[in-house]
Amino acid sequence: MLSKLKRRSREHGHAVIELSLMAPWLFFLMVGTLDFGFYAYAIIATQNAARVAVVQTARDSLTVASTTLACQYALTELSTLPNANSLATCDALPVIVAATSVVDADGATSSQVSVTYQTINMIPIPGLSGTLTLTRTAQMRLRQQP
Amino acid sequence: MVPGLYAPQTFTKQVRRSGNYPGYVRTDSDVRPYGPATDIGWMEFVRNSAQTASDAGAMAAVLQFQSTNFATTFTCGAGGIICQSPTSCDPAPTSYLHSGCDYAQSNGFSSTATNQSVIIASGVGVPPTAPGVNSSAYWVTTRVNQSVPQLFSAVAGNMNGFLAARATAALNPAKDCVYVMDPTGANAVDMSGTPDLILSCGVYINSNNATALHGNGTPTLSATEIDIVGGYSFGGSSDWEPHKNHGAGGIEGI
Repeated sequence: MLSKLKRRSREHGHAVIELSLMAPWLFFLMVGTLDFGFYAYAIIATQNAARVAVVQTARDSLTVASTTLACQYALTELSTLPNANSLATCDALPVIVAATSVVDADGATSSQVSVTYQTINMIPIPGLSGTLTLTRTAQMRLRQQP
Repeated sequence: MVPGLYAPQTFTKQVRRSGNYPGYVRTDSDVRPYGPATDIGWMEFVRNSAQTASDAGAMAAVLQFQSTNFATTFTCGAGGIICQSPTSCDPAPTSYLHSGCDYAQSNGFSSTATNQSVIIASGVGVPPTAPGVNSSAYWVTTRVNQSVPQLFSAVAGNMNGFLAARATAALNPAKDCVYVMDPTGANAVDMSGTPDLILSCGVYINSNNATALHGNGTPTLSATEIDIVGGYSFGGSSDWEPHKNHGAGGIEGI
């Protein structure tokens, strides 16, 4: 009985040392994962915003360079992000949207939408800034050429 | 020592032996799913990008077909209509289908890039890859594939993840035969009293007015489809067949 208690006590000590050695790594791993998770969610939302916006602006020549229209749809896609859910404009960070008209290799007009999103300040990891600025661009040919 | 690298059996043995490593055990089991989660998150982003590329590619190929081919009947190999089984964009097609490859590339995916492929298929009739689309004359399907190197999941032997996105665009010839060319007018079609307009084709009302189509009394408008850019209003016991396609796209230049 006594030897059993002694062994358990030794194992407790072993575990404490292991945990103290691993704690910094575990902490940074968890913080990094948390940050990365948010960044991944943000870049997925930004990509979706660019895609949805360009589908709308690629309608015709009236909408091809309509940043207002692109902004409206981009903000809807980004509305689940904490610093973008109450925005009404897209001309300054955290959300900048630009729609432009470009001519493709066949001479046809297409719409190009660029969405830039700056994340909230996450838990800083040494060597990395707490915020990340993401830009995604999508291009689609106009469904009704001018 | 790195959590997440413990084999499950070792992990179980430790729990059995002491049963008293609450912090240690819980940390390990919490951390273990993070690796695949980050890889899956990244792959989801790449898949969304691939979907954008395939959407743009399919749409561009069909629009390029529409702008360069004026056939009224759709038969593979006739009148410049190209039907093909899934074919890589490398080498780039010389037909109008090249536009699909170009737009996939402008959205970040190309068959000449490492770990990526863009494949285009086309045909006449109903597309096999778009369930629910039951009426179509010509279609193009673009498929974008990418092999994504894994970061944390590589520890478990999953060196690469494979993802694919597919989009189909189809052309459906207009079924309308009556076009009302009034871009903004109210009551562009006004049927009051007891008139009958019975058609075996469709009606397209190009007015964006809230009352582009107006009816009162006991009129009958029967057509295969009624497309209205704007809105409609009616009183009395107007008989409209079929249901109206309110909010149809406008026709430019009219």
